[in-house]
Amino acid sequence: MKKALITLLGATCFSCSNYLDLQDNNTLNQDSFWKTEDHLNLAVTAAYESLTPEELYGRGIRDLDCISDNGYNEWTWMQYWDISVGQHNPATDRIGWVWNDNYKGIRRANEILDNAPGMSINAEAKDIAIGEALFLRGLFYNNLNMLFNNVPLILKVVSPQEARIEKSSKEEVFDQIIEDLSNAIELLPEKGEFVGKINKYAAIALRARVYLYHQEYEKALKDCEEVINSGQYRLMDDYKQLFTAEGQNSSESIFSVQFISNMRSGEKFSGTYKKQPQSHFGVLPNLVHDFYTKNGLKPEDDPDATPFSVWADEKGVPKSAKELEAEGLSIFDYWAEFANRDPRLDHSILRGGEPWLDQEKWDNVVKATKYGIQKYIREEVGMYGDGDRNFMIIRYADVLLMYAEAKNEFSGPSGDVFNALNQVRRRVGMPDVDASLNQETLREEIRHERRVELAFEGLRYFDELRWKTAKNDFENKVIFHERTFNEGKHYWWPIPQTEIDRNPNLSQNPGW
Amino acid sequence: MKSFYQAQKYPFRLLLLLCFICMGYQSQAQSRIVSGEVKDEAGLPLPGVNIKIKGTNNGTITNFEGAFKLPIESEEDIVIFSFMGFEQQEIDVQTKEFISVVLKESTELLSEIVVVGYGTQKKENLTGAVGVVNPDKDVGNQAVTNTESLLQGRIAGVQLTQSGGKPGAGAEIIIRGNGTLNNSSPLVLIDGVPGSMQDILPSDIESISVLKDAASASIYGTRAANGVILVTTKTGGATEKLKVNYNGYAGLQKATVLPDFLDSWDYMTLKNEANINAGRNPIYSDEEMDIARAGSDPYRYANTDWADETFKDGAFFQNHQVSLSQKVGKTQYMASLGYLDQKGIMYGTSAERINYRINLKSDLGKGFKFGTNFFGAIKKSEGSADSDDQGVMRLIANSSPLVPVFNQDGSWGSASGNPYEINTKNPLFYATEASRQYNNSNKSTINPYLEFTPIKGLTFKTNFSYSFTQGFNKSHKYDFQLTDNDGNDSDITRVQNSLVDAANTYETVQWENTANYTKSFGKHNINVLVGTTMNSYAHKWTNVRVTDLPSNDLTEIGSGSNPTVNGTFNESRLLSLFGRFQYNYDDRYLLEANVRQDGSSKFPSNNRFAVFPALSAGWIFSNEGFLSDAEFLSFGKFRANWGQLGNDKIGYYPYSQTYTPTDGYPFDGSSIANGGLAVTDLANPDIKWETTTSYGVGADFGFWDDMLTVTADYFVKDTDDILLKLPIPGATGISNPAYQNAGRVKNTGWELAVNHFNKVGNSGFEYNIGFNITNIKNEIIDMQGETQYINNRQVNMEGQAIGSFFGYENTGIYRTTEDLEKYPYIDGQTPQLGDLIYHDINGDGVIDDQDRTIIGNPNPEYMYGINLGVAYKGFDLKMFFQGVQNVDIYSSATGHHSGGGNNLMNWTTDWMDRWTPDNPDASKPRLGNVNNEQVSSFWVEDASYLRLKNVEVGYNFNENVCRKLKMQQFRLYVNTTNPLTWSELGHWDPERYANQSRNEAYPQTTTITFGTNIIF
Repeated sequence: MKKALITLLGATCFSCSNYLDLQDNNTLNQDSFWKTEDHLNLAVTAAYESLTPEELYGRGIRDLDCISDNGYNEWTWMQYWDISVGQHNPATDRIGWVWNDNYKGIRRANEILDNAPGMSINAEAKDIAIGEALFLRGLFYNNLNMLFNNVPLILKVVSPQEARIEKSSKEEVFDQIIEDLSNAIELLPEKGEFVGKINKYAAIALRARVYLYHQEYEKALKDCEEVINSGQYRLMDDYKQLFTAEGQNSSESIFSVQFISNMRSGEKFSGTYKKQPQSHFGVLPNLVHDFYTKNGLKPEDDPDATPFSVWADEKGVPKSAKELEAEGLSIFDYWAEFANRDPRLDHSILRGGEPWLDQEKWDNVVKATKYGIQKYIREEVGMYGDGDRNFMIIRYADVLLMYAEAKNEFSGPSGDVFNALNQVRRRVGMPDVDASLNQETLREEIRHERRVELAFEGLRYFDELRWKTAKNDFENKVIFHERTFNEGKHYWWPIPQTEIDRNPNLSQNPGW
Repeated sequence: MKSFYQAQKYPFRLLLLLCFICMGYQSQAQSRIVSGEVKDEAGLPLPGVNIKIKGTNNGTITNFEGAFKLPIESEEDIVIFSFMGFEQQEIDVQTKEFISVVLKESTELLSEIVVVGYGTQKKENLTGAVGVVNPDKDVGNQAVTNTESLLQGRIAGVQLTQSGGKPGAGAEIIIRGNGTLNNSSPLVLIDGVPGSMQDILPSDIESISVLKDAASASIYGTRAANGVILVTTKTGGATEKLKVNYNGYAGLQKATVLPDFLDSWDYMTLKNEANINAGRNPIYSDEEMDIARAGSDPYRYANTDWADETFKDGAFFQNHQVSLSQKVGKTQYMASLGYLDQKGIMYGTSAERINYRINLKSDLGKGFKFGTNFFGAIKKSEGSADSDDQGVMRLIANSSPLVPVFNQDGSWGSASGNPYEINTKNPLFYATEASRQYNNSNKSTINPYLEFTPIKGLTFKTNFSYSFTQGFNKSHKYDFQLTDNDGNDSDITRVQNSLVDAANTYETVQWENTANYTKSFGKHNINVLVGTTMNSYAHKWTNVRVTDLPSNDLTEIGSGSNPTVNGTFNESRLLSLFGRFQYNYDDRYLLEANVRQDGSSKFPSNNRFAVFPALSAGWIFSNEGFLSDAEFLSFGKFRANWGQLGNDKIGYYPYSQTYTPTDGYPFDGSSIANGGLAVTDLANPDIKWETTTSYGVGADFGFWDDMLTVTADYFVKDTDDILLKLPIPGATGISNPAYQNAGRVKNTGWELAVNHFNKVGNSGFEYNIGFNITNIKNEIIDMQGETQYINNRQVNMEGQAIGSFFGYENTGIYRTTEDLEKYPYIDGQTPQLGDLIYHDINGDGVIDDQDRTIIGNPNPEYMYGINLGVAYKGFDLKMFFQGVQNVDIYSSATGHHSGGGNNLMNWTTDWMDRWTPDNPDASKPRLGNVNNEQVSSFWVEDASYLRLKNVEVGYNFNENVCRKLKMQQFRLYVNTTNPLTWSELGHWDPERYANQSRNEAYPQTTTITFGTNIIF
């Protein structure tokens, strides 16, 4: 009996080794992945997907405009408001989120860069994948470098322990971005397989931006020239259409993040409730007032125009019909004045009284600043968090303006500079700039052009940081609310407290 | 009730019988023979009762019919009738020829049979820490909608927290402190089959044993680290007579407490104040406030108490349980059916549950016994699909009281225009008509077993079980457009409806084989157990979501568009070998050793097996000769134990680095999102077991024939290699870190239970008082120097309790200009009068992250329960108090905030006492400063409470009445749960999980029920 028992127990135990070996059939693992071209495609898809989170191109990059002098964040819990008024600190959650999402993208690019070279598959497919990964890594590091000034440089798939390193300097990160993009340019095709794919010119245009951000004007303008001379891109005729469904992936788009509705996460920058577009986002009157008149003049210099400040209170907020009436003014004049302005004002910004969806006259009472955002906004009541607009990271007009800026900075005013700038203005029917401007006044003109052309495209904040104009523009020109910009610390964000807590080798940024 | 109790003991009677035969008895010449019979109080015969003539070794036992014949030598003889679990009785023989004895069930707490792992043991011989609840006896008819509640406050060391009064909700059980940073729920075994307490009717339970220490639980190895709860169900009837038992009650429930929010005019005042303080414009004019106060425009300026509107004053519920038991031939059966129908206290919520069970056991002869338990539960519940009901709880505080529940035309109230009201999501609408969620589940278990006793003392048992659960969840979000009173569309709208069908199946297969051998040699008694377990658990999940259904009335997936599907299948397996050796010398010295080897598929092959040993010993000193004269001491025992346990609740394949499917990306820019694969969770290829080493000492005493019993325990529960997800740098590029065997947590504590039972002479008056208290200190010993931030206010930090609250220490409010100069403030910010003062811990003149410290502990220091029972003639009264002492909650955000944000939120009424220049002595800070909402001790509250958990008053009709009604027992009772609570918290129930820190827990309920218990 005892013998039988022992045999039984023994038999049960011997069969156990197989019994306990289970296979996870839900997905691939480190042993079964990185085998075929399909696998590589899956990894590339995941790397592109890391552009889409809400903190990045799904909304957050556009919303950097509301910590610039273009916008005002109405929902304090989103914490853009804290940053805009200088009340942020290392523990401000949003700063950590932006950090993490950029590093997520870097990780996914690094996965490809680590694993693709060893795969025995079609060499061209491999090269393209590596080129795309390098582009994306460069893009994410550019975001980090602009926002945090200097960040840890992670260039391979790392374990948490390997990620505990000190920051690299801004220059080292810059050099790495340039190296990545230069390598990407070598590997990428002139035209991608699909419209949404990164190609060679996207990498060149991005490298131009990175050079420009680091005041390497000559290299920047050379890269811009290469894009311009490729002949692949041109300005779209209709500025307004550029930001609609019809205008997506047009010949002006050099690289757009693709979004579709009913993806598990659509974009969140184009949604609208019935009463207002992007309820958290208010447009600052300061931007509205900055648009030129149709004659290419500042409203105060144009005898045919009346500055909007006439209809506004001391904070720049337009008064209601009733308030205006009391002052003997008419709201109809205020509305009519929009027709006097650069048409991009009307395309980019929603004003009270403008027809909006089912409202004959949009009731601007729902907005603190009384102006709403209109660029990229879907003109339908749709799912707020499920937008299908593509977000243009780089478009041709930007390249032209970068070219104008780089060339003007490098060698002063010239026909090429005016030509590039005027191309952008002519498209919207604005008169050419005064050809007699000197380098300094032309610089102002180019900067103004960037602001009105590229408003709400996530570029203004970066421009303010690199031009070092933020203190004056944010503190003095924003009249709607009080802002503090401390030049000793606000030209960069603090390293997130959580990151410092988790990485003892990481030191805080100066001033924080 | 009695017959179940008796039947359960049947095997032990047999065992006793065998022992008795073994010991043998001598027959002597005698003068005459007295015959008789022994029955229990229900009139059922008791076989195996020990009968002895006092002062001699002469005796006998009753046969299967409860009858006996005893040779008597003299009329002076006194016959002692004793039987385990019953009170001993002495009968003066005199001239009696026939003695009829009715034995009463024993109330002695220390002489019970206790279910332990893979067997039973006399309570007095236990060497480990085992807590027992016999629901029929100890709990009565407490209206429990979740069976777990039976344990609350009953057993020292067992902390049970109700998750709130949501229909169908369960409870959180922690045994002897939280020993892990992961899943800390104990293993529940129903007759040896893994399951949940929800699967079983309270009235089907014979006993619940809680194995609290490693000595008693290590036989369950890797699943036992959080303790083991053994539920034993009632067995079939012992007689041919059919016994029908009906227990039913019905009653009403309401919230124990609901938050009291500001009236709309006060809300307007505070909202304006907060806005002005924050540098924003006031929102409401004085005129508007007057309208609200006067109630002159109730559809535009309402005064809605959303908490009151969303909860019912009395939600009906009913519970019926009926069981049949009988012995037919050699087969015993017990069949039961239970039905629970519970309307939620929140509108739009309800739950129904059906439980069924058939227990069969058949004597096949030749030492074979075959039995099958078949049982299951069918559950249905309904509620809002918007987040969940906690979502509605949040809406209640976040909704403006200015919005009416209904507009004048009867449509749902909403607001347009004023941006501060347009976000009011009408909680009542969201609770009832904005969406619906239906949860259905059907679980059934079949558990056949075969026992074989080839020779005396040796039993083989093979026990197989198969459980299958199928769950369907349907959640339907409707599209809608609310309007304000003037018919204008409000912002509260859903433009796209959606329907989600989720299906879950769970399959558990377990096969256990045990061999048990018991033998006595003189004063030596041994018991040896060996066994094996094979266990597998599999979970399949499928989820389909569609949108744009052409009508909200359509309920099926086929009618929608844009389907998205998802699904997973996961499995885990366990293979174990275990053994136990018990030795008992003369009922004085007790020794027990356990060992279990477990292999689990959850671990990589290099760390797959682990061995868990345990040792315990006991000394029943009251059985020593030198104490035989100590009359007052009826029982005394010292115990000591040591053992190890494992924990494997860490998911399915934590060692395998998987690439997870991601949402995808549409390259072609049009419509199709290509899927992607990426690492989203890091894996640890070297992961191994968490090991809990527990040790302790204990003592049990019985005084004055066990009228007073005392049990005391000191324990240490030390868990090492705790699987932790230590925070990793964001630069890693992964948000979800891998588990590492990195932590160590120690729980140290003591338990004390005192019970007293007495009958006052022959007056028929009986009473009992019981008290148990547990003290636990929880401390994280090691986390590799890391700190884990669970959320923005809780940390796991070395030297501190799990989940401690972490933030600034608030030392007061800036009340004078001197204060403003004296106390440093948050870096870069300037305080104003009325702001909270934070303690500058490092004294560097600024308040920053370095000044954060531990500001509270969510683990209660003391837990206690008090039982009172009184019986007189047919009446009885049971009262049960339960409480926790020294526990903190973090209470902020919902309803309790200082108005820093400009989003919508009402305040509880105590915020009228906020600081203003006119109210400089306020208890609350000024409104409108975000810095007052930093995580600080200001928001930590003491959630200690004592509550009268249950009161039952019942009447048992006497035998005459019962006989006339042709019943064996007829009882009527009134029961109320949670009628009284003593707590410092004003607006929310103090009983809630530690992580429910936003004041959004569904309220607990207080109930009143009327019921009856009838046995035919």
